Formats: sequence, structure tokens, C-alpha cells
Amino acid sequence: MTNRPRQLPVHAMMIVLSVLALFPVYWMIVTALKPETEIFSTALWPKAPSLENFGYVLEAIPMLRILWNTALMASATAAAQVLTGLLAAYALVRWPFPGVKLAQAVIGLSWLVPFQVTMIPNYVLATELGLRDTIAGLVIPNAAAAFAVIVFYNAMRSFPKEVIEAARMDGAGASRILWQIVAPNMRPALAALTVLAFISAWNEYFWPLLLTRHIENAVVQIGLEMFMSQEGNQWGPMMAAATLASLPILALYLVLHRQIIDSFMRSGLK
Amino acid sequence: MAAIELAGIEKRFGESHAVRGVDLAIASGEFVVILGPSGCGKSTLLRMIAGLEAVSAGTVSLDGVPMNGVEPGRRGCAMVFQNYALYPHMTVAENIGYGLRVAGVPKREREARVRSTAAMLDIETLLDRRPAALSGGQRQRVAMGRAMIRNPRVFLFDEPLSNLDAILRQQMRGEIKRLHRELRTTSVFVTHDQVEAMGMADRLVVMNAGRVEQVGPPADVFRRPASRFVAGFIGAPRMNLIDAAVTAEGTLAVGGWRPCDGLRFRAAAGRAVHLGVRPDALAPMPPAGGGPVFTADLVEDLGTEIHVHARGEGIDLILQRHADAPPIDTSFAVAIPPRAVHLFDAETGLRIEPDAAETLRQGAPAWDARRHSSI
Ligand SMILES: Nc1ncnc2c1ncn2[C@@H]1O[C@H](COP(=O)(O)OP(=O)(O)O)[C@@H](O)[C@H]1O
Ligand SMILES: [Mg+2]
Repeated sequence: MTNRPRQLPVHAMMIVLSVLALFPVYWMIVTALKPETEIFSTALWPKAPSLENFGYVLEAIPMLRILWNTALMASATAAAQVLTGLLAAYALVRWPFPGVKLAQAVIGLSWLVPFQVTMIPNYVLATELGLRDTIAGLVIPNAAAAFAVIVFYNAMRSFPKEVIEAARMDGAGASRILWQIVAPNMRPALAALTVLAFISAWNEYFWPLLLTRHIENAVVQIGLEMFMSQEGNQWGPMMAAATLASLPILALYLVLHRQIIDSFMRSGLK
Repeated sequence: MAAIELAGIEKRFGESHAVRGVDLAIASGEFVVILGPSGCGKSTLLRMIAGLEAVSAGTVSLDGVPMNGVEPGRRGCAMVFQNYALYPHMTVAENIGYGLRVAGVPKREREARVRSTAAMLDIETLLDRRPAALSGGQRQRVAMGRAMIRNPRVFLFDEPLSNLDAILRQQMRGEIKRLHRELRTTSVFVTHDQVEAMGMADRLVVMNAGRVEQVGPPADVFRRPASRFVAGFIGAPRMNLIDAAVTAEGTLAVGGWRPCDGLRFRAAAGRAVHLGVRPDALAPMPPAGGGPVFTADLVEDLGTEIHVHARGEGIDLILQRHADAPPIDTSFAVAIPPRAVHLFDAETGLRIEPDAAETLRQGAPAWDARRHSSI
């Protein structure tokens, strides 16, 4: 409050950055509203905005079905990563064994293994298990994530040991302590991780591309691809589909944004 | 209410040997205080009774039943932690009632018991708050309530008052003792604060470096410390400990000075010892005879008493005097009343008692240290 003049350049900078971040989103929506004739115009608003691209998308591909598939896949992936992450981190924090440091290092390193390395074995395995063209096939390889384990490990390590001991004195067993004492105090980490895992699953492209055979079983990133072709891209419908694909993410963010910001602020302050 | 028996308890953390063979029997209903400097293994010992820490060797028994390997929740002990360790996401009522919830007590009964426990501790108005919205003293009470509600056989306290300010600490001390009088639950209370220990204990256990130095009622421990460590640790200001030697006749020699000539000790001639005298037992007198002359170099007036720090011939002493005692001369000698003498072997640190028969034969005056000090 007292140094208002000095805040001015800071605010100006933030406004510029926000515009830079938001402009592509704005352009996506505007392009989706443009009729075919205007598609390459650089005007900031179409002369004759219309929803025809959206109509086309819904006819050309089973878009609602695809959105549903994606939501299912992304929710299941996020839930699985949270669950496995919580369990693994809890075990590492509560029962440190000789070599626990090594185990952590290995978990951390697995995060750095590129997808291309595991792609073929995963594909072979998924095929053998009959998981091609299924949601389960999309979820299972991503059900455990090193990132989730690391995030929860750090959150739990700073959770006071005495509180866990108090619960042990109260007669609570290991799993009751995890679900009734530890997890409820991990809310910021849980929210942040859920969102990150959900978004990254939502944006998944290569693995679904490998696994999907039929458009009814596809996820949105595959759906978007339908509007790209050798003869040229159908920009209007593609942007309409992209807009539809972004809405659920936006909704998720609006619901959880307080916890997310909270969590990022906290990890930034450490 | 349960009797606790510790037999040959040891605890090692890798290289460090935190508890080195503790044998201790605590009677049912007793209030025992474990006192010792920080790092001496008090918490570790308490946590082994609770079952939070496994013993490296020895047996913990409650009412004669060995408890090694029994889960903390099944031992019937309740613990109050130094930093309270309340569940941050639960209300006060949920905190207090959690143990009952785990035990499967129906909600209605649970609520009634939470309310009556809260009433005993005067925290009924706080039941809907979360720990973050409580003061230190209030958190302390909630932690007590959580321990009390399950009617445990044993209360374990790990320095529960050390995060409170002085006034609150004194108040809670009284309250814990009051609760103990009402409930008569066997209690083990760990602290590094000797005032707390002396004031609360039925029986005091003094620990040092993983071992028990002395066990006894606080007054006995104060009057007859069993080792130099206990002598120096208990009592404020600290007991004066003067390097001395035992002469061939069994008297004490501090250089050329022969304080309390009437006392005889049965120890090898030339044996190095520490001569201990409480500051309130030392009486200043005009310099005369062969004793060292002391010079006061710091006088602290604490209102109720005066501490005089003095030194002479390489010996540092503290004298404690009544606030209304006449002012002390800057140079003085001291008389050491024989009854006030505590002697400790310099090597083992153990107490050496004067040879009563020999001392009597020499006709030492039966001097009452306490009466003497109030001159
Ligand atoms: N979990 C542990 N791992 C390693 N050393 C420990 C552990 N707990 C306590 N110690 C060591 O054991 C000794 C006694 O500790 P503690 O019982 O906490 O002392 P006190 O409560 O008397 O201050 C200390 O030297 C401490 O460093
Ligand atoms: Mg301690």
C-alpha cells in the first residue's frame, strides 16, 4: 500500500504476461467462431461469428463420447496416481528401511525415463493382456507416477511425527492413520497433484495413438487429429474441438484453484 | 492403574547408546518424575514404556505382564506430548474423542464422555474449535483430555509444560497433581526442570547419560544425593563442589586448609574427593586461622534471597543468604558445618558417608546445617 508507485511497473509486467498467456486461448475461441471464408483473417473478432464449426465437429466425430472417454481416463489416472503415490510415500516415511535413500533415488530417476523407452514393452504387454482399444489400457501404465510419490513424500516428511504417534497411542492402526490423520492434512498437495495428473492425462497423445483402434474408443487428442490431413488442416472445426476439449480442464481449475495456488505458494516458500 | 516394571532396559540407536540398563519398579498409583539433563534418555525411556520405541534389551511389564512387542494402542497407556501433537484437522471434541472412535464406542456415548472430560478440564466452550485457534494452555488441556478420556492404566508425560509461560506452567502443575489425586492413575512425568520435578514427584528418578543415578522421594534425593552428578544437578543455586583430598587420619584437606576437622571418612589416604556444600549452609565469618580468605565479586539480590559469588585461593563459592541477613564483608572466611558436608569420590562420583563412630569419638559438634544457615 505504502509503495504504490513502485508496484506500477510490476503490475504492468504482469498484465503483459497475462495477455501473452491468454491470447492463444482467445485466438482458439475466435477461430472456432469463424466461418470457413474468414479462417485466415487476422481480425480480432470475426465479421460473421457462427457456431457452424461446433456443429460440424459433433457430426464428424462422436465428440461427446470422446470427451466422456477422456474424462473417465483422466479421472482414473489421477485417482490411481494419488492412491499409489500416497501409499508409497507413507511407507517410505513411516518405515524407513536400510537403503530407503536408494529406493527414493530409483523412484526419482524413473521419472526421467522417456516414454519412448517404455513404449514398445508397454505396447506388447497391453496387447498380450487384451487391453488394446480400452480405457484400462490407457490408465494402467500411468497408474503410478514418480512425481506423485515425491510430492507426497515431501509433504508427509514435514508432517509432525508426534501426531502420528498420538494416533498410535489412541489405538489407530497404520491404514487408519493414513486415511484419517495423514491424508486429511495433505489437502493442498492432494489438490495440486490431482489437477496436474488429470491435465497431463487429458493431454496424453502418443500412448492413446498407439493403443486406439476405433474412434468410439478414442480420447480428445486423437479426436483433434481427425481434422488434420494431408490436404490441409480444417482449422475451424479443429479449434472448435479444441475449445470443447479445454472446457472440462477450465472447470476443474475453477473448482480447485484456491487449493492449487495455496499449494504452489507453499512449495515456493520452502 | 497399573504397576510398571522396567528390567534391564537398553536402547541403542545405531552407534549411540541412549539408555544403558535401567531397572525401575513403579507402584500402582504412584506419581514418578524422571529428571535429567537434555539428551540423557528420558524421552526414549518413556517412549519404550509407551511402546512407541522398541527396547534393544530388557523387559517392560505392566502389572507383571511383559509388554515387549505389544502395540502402543493396546498397552493401556496414554501420553501427553511436549508439543501437544493434536490432530490439526479435527475439532477439540474430535481430538479428545478420537481414541474412543478408534475403539468403536458409539457416537452418543462418545459425545457424552467427551463433554464430561472437557468439563473436568474446563474446556467445554472450546469443543468446536480447531487446535490452530487455541492458546498454548488450551492446547495443553486438550492434550490432557485426549489422554484422560480412555481411562488409561498409565499416564505418560513428556515435558508437557515446557512450552508454557511460567505462570501457566505453575498453574498446570497444580492441575495435573489435582487430577492425579482424583484419578490415582499411575503417572510417569519426564522433565528437565528440577523445580517441576521436586514439586510434583512422589518419587524422583534422576537420570544421567542413559543411566539412573538415584531414585527416591524428592526430599531424600535433595538431602542425600547419591552421586556428584545428582548433587550438582539438584538445587539452585548449585551445590558448591570443592576439590579436596582425604588425609591419613581420615579428615579432609583442601590444600593447607582443614575444613570441618571433626569429620572422619574411611577412605584411602590421599584419595581425591569433591567436598560438596549447599550455598545456604555456608556461613561467612571474619578471616582468622588458617582457612582461605574469600572475596565477594558478585552479589545478586533476588528479593527473597541474596547470592554471593566469591573466590579465594583458587576456590569459587556461592553463598546463599536471607534477604534480611546483615550485609557481608568484602573479605571473609567460611565455616563449613559438618552436618552440611557431602563427600563424593572424584573418580567414581559416588557418595562417601562420614564414618559415624569415628566422627563421634572425635567429638564433632552435632551441628544442624539448616539452623546454622539461617543465622
Ligand atoms: N530416533 C533416534 N535416532 C537416533 N538417536 C536418537 C533417537 N532418539 C533419541 N536419540 C538419541 O538418544 C539420546 C537420548 O535422547 P532423548 O531420550 O530424547 O533425551 P531426553 O529426552 O532426555 O532429552 C540422545 O543422544 C538422542 O540424540
Ligand atoms: Mg526429551
